[in-house]
Amino acid sequence: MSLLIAALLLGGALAWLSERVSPEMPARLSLATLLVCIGALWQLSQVALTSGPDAAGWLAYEAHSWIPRFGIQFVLAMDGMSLLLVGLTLLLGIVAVIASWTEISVRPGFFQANLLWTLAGTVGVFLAMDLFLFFLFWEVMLVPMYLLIAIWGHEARAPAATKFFIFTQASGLLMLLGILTAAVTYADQTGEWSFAYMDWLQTPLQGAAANYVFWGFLLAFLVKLPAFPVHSWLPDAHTQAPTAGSVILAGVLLKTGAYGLLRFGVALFPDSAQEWSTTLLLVGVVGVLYGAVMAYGQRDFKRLVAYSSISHMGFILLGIFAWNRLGWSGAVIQMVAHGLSTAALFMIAGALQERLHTRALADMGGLWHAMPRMGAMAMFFIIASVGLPGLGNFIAEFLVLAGLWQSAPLICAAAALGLITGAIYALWLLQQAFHGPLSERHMSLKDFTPRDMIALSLLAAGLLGLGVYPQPALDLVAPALDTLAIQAGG
Amino acid sequence: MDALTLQSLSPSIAMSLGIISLMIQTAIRRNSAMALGISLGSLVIALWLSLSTWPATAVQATPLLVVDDYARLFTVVLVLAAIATIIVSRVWMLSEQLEQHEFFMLVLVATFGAVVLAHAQHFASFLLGLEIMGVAVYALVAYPDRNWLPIEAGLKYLVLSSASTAILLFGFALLYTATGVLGFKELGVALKNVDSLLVGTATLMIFVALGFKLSLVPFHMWTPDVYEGSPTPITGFLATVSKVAIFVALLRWYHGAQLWQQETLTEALSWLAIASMLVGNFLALRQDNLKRLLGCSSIAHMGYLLVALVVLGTLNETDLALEASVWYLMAYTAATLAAFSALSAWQSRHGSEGNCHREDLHGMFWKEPLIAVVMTLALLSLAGVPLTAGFIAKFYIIASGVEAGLWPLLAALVLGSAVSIFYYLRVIYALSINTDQKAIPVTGERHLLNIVFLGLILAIFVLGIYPEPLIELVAGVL
Repeated sequence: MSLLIAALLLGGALAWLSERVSPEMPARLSLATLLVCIGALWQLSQVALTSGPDAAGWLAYEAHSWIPRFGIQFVLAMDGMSLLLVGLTLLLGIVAVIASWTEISVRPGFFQANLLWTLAGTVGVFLAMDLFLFFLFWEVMLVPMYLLIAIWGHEARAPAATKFFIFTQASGLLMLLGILTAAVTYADQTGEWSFAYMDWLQTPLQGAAANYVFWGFLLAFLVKLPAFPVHSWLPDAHTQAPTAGSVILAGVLLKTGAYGLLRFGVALFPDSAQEWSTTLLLVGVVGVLYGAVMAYGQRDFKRLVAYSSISHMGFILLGIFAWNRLGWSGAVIQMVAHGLSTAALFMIAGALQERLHTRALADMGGLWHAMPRMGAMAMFFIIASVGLPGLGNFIAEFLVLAGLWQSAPLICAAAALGLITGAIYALWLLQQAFHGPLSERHMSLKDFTPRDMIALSLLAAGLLGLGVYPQPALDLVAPALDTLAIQAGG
Repeated sequence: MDALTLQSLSPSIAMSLGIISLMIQTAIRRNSAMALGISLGSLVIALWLSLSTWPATAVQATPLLVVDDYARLFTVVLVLAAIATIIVSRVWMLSEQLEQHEFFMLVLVATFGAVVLAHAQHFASFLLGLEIMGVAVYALVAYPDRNWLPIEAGLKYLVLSSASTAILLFGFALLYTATGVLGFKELGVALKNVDSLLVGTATLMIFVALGFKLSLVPFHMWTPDVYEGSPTPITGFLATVSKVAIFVALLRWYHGAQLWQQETLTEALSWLAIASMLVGNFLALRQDNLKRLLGCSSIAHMGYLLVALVVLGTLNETDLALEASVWYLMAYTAATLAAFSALSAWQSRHGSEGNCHREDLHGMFWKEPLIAVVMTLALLSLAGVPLTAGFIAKFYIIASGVEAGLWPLLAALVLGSAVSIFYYLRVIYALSINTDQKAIPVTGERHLLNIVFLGLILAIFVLGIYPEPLIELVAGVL
């Protein structure tokens, strides 16, 4: 697993250097890196799945001593949930590379390097089982992502990139404070420093301290998710980022918040989490509805998709704090499904921007006639994100609502409204951009190339598979959620 | 004076020999390359001597000086910083066509003073080191004789600094009146029996004076002006060698004399820390000039350092806080030095002094990638982003603060850090803006400069990624 991360870091460095060879080289190299990583992950998972999990429930586990002064270890561990999310990360990495193939002309090598480094940080977040290491990867994702937005973003990139960084960094500092408080308490109780996840599970925090630490973690995760009212960095960052950046941001980076909530928020602080669950459910449902309403008000393709993300991530929050197995499975499936569908939508938005030099919906219309392949793809993914039965998003939202119905029927009813509002803005988006009369100057636009179609078909196949036969994915994460249920005591 | 003492003092002796030979050389024949060779040579010899004669146990070299791990560690840090400063200044002086001999001599003298401060265990050596360093730094600040800004800065620094030294001396005198001793350790013993208004006033006066030199709020007013007016390599020297040496001596005094037992002092320090962290960061937010910005942010960094001192006063277990302050000093030195070196190299190539507004930095990433990488790393380290030395240092400070349960201080620290990210990022963003200007061909010691840059990059990265060896070295250093 550490080789996986090292390969991404090294691939990034090579891509940067290869810029001197030819401008196409970096993209090819980073595609190759990602393919190698996916192959390695496949190999790793095959071996792990046939031999079964170890005593602690990990499919793969490695630990090295790192900073003994504070008992900090380099611990990477993988269970079904991590495996699924790492797979998603690498897959969307490929999509992002393809999306940037023709878009990026300035400094392509440095661009690909930052892209791969962001992915390395994200993979690290999904695998790290030492809280110090987790925090390190959490922050390492940020710097290259910041550079992606700040250097290759659109017209208003500076404030967007800065806002993104400050929101996440400031909340990250609170998490660091929380991590350290927990570590010091642990050291007081046992006489030894440790940041290891497994150690902390053995000695849970008690009382008021647990509550404060929980909030430190929670704020960092809610900002990243993002939940209402700490979401305001997201529309700007998504809109201004280059296509590949938006794909990674929406597809993977947001998921780290959800993952953190499940893995650390729920498992380490079950009592505090349960105590605050009603408040957090309200936050979630407000996010669902607010995101949907705001999305409908947008006149910019990417901003609309960005607000729809807020709405969809609200479902994840609802699923997590529904506090049962159904809800949690729904949340995990939603992470994957939202990752796939939103990545595709951002890719389409990027393709439109590259061809039309605008993201304003008012300047679009009738594009289906000019670019039927793109239109068909757009329709598929827009309908998927509405939650059409047979596609992944439906399964996810259904599971979340079913889980929520058991614990909070009223909130469930309110959240279900989100499905209706979701349909309104999504269909409106499709209609504005692709239907209606085609303007003269858009007659000769270039449709998607086979390369783009391959990337999007991969995503479509994933959504379809998840929608028609979700059982393999559910089986994969089931052991992880079982463990979580035991830790959460419910 | 026996052989062991002589051996343990050999780095300082090497440096003073270097100063003398530089004087003789200047009197016989002025040759700037030779002067560079002599000054770098004596510093490298001092460095080699301090590493090769690292004492197994602390050596009392006269009642004034003590040579222990702590002193050696900081001798190495200070000498390395001086080497970097000299190389960076050389490039700058070649581009400005300034006389170089006296400059090198002054840097050597100031570094010598700083090294004395690192060894000081007595008020007399404290004051001697402070003044040897101070007098040389005044001259360095005002060194370029072609425009008024450095002279104004030098004068400001001279007046305020001498006033604070006077207050410091008064404080020493009052302490002597109350206790009758001047050594740090003896003072600690004596203070246990004396508890008078006199002692309180004296420590307060000493802290006020050192607060001026370290630019703690509310004694920080001179900082942005002097930082802006000084030649850039000297600003870096002032911000690192001078401040670090003073803090090193202060820490030894604070620890040796067990000042943490005075609760009022601890409380006063925590207010100073909170004010410095908040005011420094918010002032920096409003600066467009990079040197002023770094000046204001250094106020905040000194505030973070004070947190460790307050922790010393709150906890009985002192290891973590001591390690935290030593770490912070080293990480701060590396990052600040890197930032000013990069800025100076950039200025030497793109027009004259004074051009350090944000828009003057545009396009650095595309024109001078190495300088831009150094600058970016330095700023990220100052901001405390992981994988840099600054993160480990901040981690230490927060850990010690949490252990002592100093929540108001930690709140100020987190708020201040969040604000600081904004202004550091703004600079990094400016570096990335694309412009079409052509780079000016490089003059001067390019290779030496590149070695300095690589060393700084390595220091920031290695300390950030694999800190354990240094952690072990720092543990129990004082």
